[in-house]
Amino acid sequence: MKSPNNSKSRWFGLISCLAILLVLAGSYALITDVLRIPNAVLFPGWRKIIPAFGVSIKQLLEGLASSLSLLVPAVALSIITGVSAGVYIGLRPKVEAVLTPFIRAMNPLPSTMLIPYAIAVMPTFWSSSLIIIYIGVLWPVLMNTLHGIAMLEPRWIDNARCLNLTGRRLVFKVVLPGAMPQIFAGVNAGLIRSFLLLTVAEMIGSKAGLGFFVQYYADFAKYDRVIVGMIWLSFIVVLIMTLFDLLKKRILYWTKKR
Amino acid sequence: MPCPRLTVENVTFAYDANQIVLKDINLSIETGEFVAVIGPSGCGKSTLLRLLAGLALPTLGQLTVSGQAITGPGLDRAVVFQDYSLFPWMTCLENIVLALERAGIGETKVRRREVALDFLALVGLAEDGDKLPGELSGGMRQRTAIARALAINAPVLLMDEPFGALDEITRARQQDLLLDLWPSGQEKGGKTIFFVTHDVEEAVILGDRVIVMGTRPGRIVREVPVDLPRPRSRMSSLRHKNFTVFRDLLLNELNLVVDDRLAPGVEAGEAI
Repeated sequence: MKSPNNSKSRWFGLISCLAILLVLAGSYALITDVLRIPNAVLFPGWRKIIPAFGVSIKQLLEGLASSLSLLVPAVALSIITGVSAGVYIGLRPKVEAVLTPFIRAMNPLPSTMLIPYAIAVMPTFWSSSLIIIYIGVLWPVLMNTLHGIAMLEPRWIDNARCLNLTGRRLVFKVVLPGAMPQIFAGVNAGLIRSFLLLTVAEMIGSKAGLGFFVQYYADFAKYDRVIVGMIWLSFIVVLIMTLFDLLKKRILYWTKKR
Repeated sequence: MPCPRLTVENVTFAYDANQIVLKDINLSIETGEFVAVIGPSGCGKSTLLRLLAGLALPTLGQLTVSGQAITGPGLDRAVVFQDYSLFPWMTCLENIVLALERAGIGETKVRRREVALDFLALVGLAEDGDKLPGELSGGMRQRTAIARALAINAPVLLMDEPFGALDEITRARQQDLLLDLWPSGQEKGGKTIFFVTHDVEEAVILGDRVIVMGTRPGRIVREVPVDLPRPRSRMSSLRHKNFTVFRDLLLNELNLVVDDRLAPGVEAGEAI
């Protein structure tokens, strides 16, 4: 619904969010730049952070490119295989009955425990990280796709049967759109997990990327750069999630109008 | 006519031995006939419709459409459900176009859109084709569902309390619309309608024949032919001198069914 009230509340949300950030930044300036209370090495003031951002821009952009070149294929692969497998399994109750306990068991396991094997088996850092992120994101996407299919309303199924919808048409006209709200919930959970896995992977074994940037300067005790890296990483994550929410709103427009 | 359009032969439907929904149902519906089914909740009238639609299969007995045994859903039987048989993620037009595509009507996408628009116009929704079902009122959604059912040109229309969730005035309008759109049964190609309702007046206004069903197990108690003149409208039916006769007769039958149900012996004998 595009009521003026709603867009008003959206602006209100954005402005209050910015206001809180400003207050936090101001408080930080007060205790570091002005009062110099905490350790100046661990908590450099804005006077040091802002110039550090200036000299880091090129590295930050390169780090972003490197991180995205890992994150995007890994997440895309998880979504494609997770949703496809979910549809295949979800439409076959017997297969689902066999696999569901397994999938439920796999979902909470941290894929980071596979890092030693991923590094040993895969030829490059990129491919081993890809595997770790892929596995971590796969389960929530798969589980939620299955859930979405299980929750399809019986009347949609009846309707589809009355229209003799089968095979590919059934999947693309009814099953996927109907399960889409749950699929988005799964991708949402998967994305959140992917950021965690990305930074962990980059901090452990990488020579590039945003997680590497933070870890690298932490090793040299350059905390102004560390904070720059943290702010940049946060900004990117928030940006990706905002874009994801916009996409979700576009695709799930019909759920608001039921 | 070589054979009745719809037949139900010795049909029993049960989930298990203790839960018999329908027992020994026999029914024959001629081509072009408008049959209304009434009965208290739990009498299995919606189940009977699902059996005719092929959405469920009988435990015993057989159902046929145009002489062929019903083994599953088919586009020769258009179904209109009470809770709007439209996909909420498609516009009204897209919903109808998909049905046309499945029914093999219209050679091209453009042509199918035209046909869909014609039928939307027929139910007075020419301007609303690009809206989502959720953006329409309940009455408009039901009209879209009826437009879709008519568009695929199925010889049989199965309607499961299609106006049950609508307010009084909207329901009256939908009844008139249906009476207008339903070609008189005697004409060639007349549509056969199986109409489930819990509203006795609606059954009399619309039906050529009203079937009263009873509960425990679901069964046909009585069939009442309604020989009000056609073409009908809601008003012409309501004002006809025999209307109250039919209505009172049916109400009486329903009362007997409900009394039956509340009889202490029956109640005590069945644990649910």
